[in-house]
This record gives sequence, C-alpha cells and structure tokens, in this order.
Amino acid sequence: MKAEVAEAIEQIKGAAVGVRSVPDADGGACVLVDGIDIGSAFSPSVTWIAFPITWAYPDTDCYPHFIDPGIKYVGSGPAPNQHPDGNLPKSITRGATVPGFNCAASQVSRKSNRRNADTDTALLKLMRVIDFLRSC
Amino acid sequence: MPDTAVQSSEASDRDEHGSVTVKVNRKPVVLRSHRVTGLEVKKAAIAQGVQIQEDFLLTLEASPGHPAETIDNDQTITVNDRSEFTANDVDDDS
Repeated sequence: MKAEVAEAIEQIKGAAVGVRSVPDADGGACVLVDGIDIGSAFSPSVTWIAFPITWAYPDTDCYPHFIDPGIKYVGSGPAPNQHPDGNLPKSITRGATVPGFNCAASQVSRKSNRRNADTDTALLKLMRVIDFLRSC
Repeated sequence: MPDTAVQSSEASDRDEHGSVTVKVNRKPVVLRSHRVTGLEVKKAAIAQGVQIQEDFLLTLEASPGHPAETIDNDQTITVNDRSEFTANDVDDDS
C-alpha cells in the first residue's frame, strides 16, 4: 500500500472507531468506517460508510462513497432517485457494490470538482459526505 | 451551536494586543480575539491572503483529545496558537 494511502487511513482511525481497510492491487485501498450517524432523515440513522482511496491519492479525490443498502430515506425533502426498495435523495442511488469488500451498497456521489490536494484529505472528504447526508 | 473549548492556560497564546495567530490551510492568520466564529476565521484568512472563499467548509483539525470538527459560520469557538484550520471548497452532486 502506498505510504500516503496508509497515512490517510491512520488519520481516519484517529478520528473514528471501527475502521477497516482492504488494499487494492495498485497501492490504494478501500476503507470502511462503521457506526456513523447520518441523521434522522434516514432509517436506520446509523450506517457504515465505505470509499476508495486510490494510488493517486492525495492528488485525486476520494470518490464515490457507499452506505448500507438497507438504509431508507424517511426525511421530508425530495427523493428523486426512485427504487422499489425506497426512494433516495439526489446523489444517492441504489444497486452499487463496494470495491474491495464486495458488498452491496447505495452509492453517495459527491464530487470534489475544485479540490485542493494541498489541503483536502480522505478524512475531510468523509466529514463532508457525512455533513451532506445529515443535510438531506 | 456547540462551543468547542480548546483548553489553554498559557499566556503565550495571547500577544499584548489580545490577538492570536492560528493557521488556515497551513498559513498563519492573525485573529483579533480568541473567541471567534467560523465565518470570522474565514474572513480574517481571506483578508490576510489565504486563497479561500467565505462559502468554503471550515474544519478545525484534530488535536490531542479533540477529533477534527467542522465549524459552522455562526459557531463560536475558542482558539489558541496551536489551532489549525482547513478550508475546502464544497462538493458537487454528480
């Protein structure tokens, strides 16, 4: 695993419990963080969040993120992503698979189009994704 | 909003004018008070040449005993000269 990727995982472990990772073949890894509270607009309100950190990190975004596929949206906002298992807000879609862990998931697609590689980190991106979910 | 108390009893945190120097995106930024809002941190950083905007997301980096924390614009926090912030542009739907 590339040193920068390993460092990013250690930084996440310093901020959260229940952090697991699976290395990929290119020097990156997929990270899964258990027990994250994503707010009362989702049921259950606690999920794991997984995401890849590729070999190109820190020069590239951590994208996309994944949550437990059993999560349902119970908030009052729009949920345009329609699915028999429950509609979801924009940026969240069903039918994904988490790389590395090879488990079913819903995908949270939040792209950091103006990312500053000097200041952004995998941990900060995870925090922004959590904030996004809590805002739904 | 919660009040994040960054404990410090060291007089060195405060210069003779009561200001304090923190870091925003690794650059020193002088704040006029130890008690500031997230928006005040960003405004001071912008005024002192840090290349961010007021709508960027501000994070107080982790320190011993304190995990990293997102700081809202209207959230008042207490800072010291070891406080380090990161400000990043918001993400987009894709």
